[in-house]
Amino acid sequence: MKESLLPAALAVLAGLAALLAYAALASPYLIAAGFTIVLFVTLSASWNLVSGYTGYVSFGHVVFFGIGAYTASLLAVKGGLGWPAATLGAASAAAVLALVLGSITLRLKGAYFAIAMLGASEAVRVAASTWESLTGGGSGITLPNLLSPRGAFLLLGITALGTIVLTYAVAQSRFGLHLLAIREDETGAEAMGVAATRAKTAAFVLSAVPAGIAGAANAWHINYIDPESTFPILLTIQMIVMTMLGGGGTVLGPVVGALLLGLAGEFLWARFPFIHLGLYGLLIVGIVIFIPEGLLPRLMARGILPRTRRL
Amino acid sequence: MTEPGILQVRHVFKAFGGLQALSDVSFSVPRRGIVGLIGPNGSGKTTLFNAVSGLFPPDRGEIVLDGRPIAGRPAWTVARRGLVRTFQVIRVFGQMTALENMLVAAPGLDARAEKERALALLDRVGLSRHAREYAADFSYGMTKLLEFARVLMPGPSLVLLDEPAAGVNPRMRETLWSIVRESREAGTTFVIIEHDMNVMMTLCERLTVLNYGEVIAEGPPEEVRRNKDVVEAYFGKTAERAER
Ligand SMILES: Nc1ncnc2c1ncn2[C@@H]1O[C@H](COP(=O)(O)OP(=O)(O)O)[C@@H](O)[C@H]1O
Ligand SMILES: [Mg+2]
Repeated sequence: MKESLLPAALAVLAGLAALLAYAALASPYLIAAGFTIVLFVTLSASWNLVSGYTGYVSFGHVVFFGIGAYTASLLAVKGGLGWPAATLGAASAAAVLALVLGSITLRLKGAYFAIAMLGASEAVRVAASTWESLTGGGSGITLPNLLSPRGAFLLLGITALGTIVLTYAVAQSRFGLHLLAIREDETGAEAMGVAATRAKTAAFVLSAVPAGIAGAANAWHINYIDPESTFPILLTIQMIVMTMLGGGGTVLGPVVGALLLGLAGEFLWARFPFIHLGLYGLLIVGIVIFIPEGLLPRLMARGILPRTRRL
Repeated sequence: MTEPGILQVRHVFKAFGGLQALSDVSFSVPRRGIVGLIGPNGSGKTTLFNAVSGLFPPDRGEIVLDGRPIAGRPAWTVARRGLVRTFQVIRVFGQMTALENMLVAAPGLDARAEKERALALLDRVGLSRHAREYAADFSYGMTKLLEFARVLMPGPSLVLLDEPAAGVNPRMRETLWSIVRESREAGTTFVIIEHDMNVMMTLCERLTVLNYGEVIAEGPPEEVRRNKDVVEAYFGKTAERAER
């Protein structure tokens, strides 16, 4: 497998170069648009790591984004930390929350897990708005300007790239194979010696980290957080739609989905904010009916793309 | 054989609602043996495999593998202690290649050694040409063979086979049984559920017979075949008629 690492390494370098060039050259408007795109890529790729590979659909993944945003903001405002340390804090908080939530909810079967995660994210959102002494409640937290929009873009862009690399590594590994086995037949996988709950929990923690960093980067980007904008169910729905569109359980599926949806959102339907949610609804229905397995797996099945775990 | 067997099942009970699927089942499996488990449809053979392999805990009773109690332990722990099984209803991973299916069950050696082992086993069951094809595209017989090869992948000490030959063509069936014999020579123990009595007579050193969730006979095949209860329960009316 060693020799074939070269194309992947080159792709990562190219991605890094593109991010740096974009951060250096793009106009403020394009930086803002680019931020949305890398946000979408990070979030859908992170959702894919657990839900795409194990089939356990999380309806509450936004909770890691939210906990990241709050942890980073509080560490910066109340703890006086700089953005790097506060961002690390956000990643750790997301990981710990995933470990705690996962060891409870991942014992539940599919649909119950989905609902439990929805409940968990709503519970954390309510906690954020009622624990006023800490979080400022509904009026939110205003942040000092710690990182420029370009810096926030670059931070999140590199996180997006890192999440893709992480997914690539998982997909090639025995661990990744175990996750896919769980997705297909958890009982069968366990009978073959796969420690399913452990593997799912590990994937969950891995997937929470980039989402937590994204929450922090978003806070650096807009310098303000409040419960409503930090735990929106819409964001979870977007993660699900993007991954389903591109194809869950593949490395690049969620990236493709995020690019398509991000660009469409940015340049087409941002003008119609009120039908936004309705469009997502229609899109979900369309995907489920016409390409339930997602674009990439469809292209692989057709022989247009090679059928490999590397893509 | 004074050495304790590799597996002891003692006074195991399992009910599904009002149905007593296993009722005070005890039997033991000698190390490096091939033991047959027979009985009419619905007599509890698969349920016994499920309880032993940790798919669900028995309601009561002890199960001891290699001197350690395993009743109620989760399936993956039991598997990692060396007991693996196949399913009567096949359970291969369709969205994975045959090779990937094998690697899921790998024992945790270095990657190259595992791959070689996987390919060798696939070759043994005649699937090496299909190693990189997806199991979803396999015929029923091929899937059975893949599941059989996969169960040997971790290098288990005890293998439970639930009707492994059903749906496999006669030539591959012979191969399958000869792999069982070879693996036994290499130190693996087998418990086999199989309806073909001719196969069971020649393959197994011992037979255990279940009927309505109870063990009604146990012993060497010749002895079991002559047992009246077995003739009645298992061979049923046709056997009685034949004897008349
Ligand atoms: N999961 C289950 N739930 C309810 N009843 C079951 C279940 N598994 C098996 N049974 C019942 O238990 C009895 C024994 O079944 P089984 O062990 O599959 O028999 P065999 O493998 O000997 O044909 C049957 O009556 C079957 O219907
Ligand atoms: Mg059965």
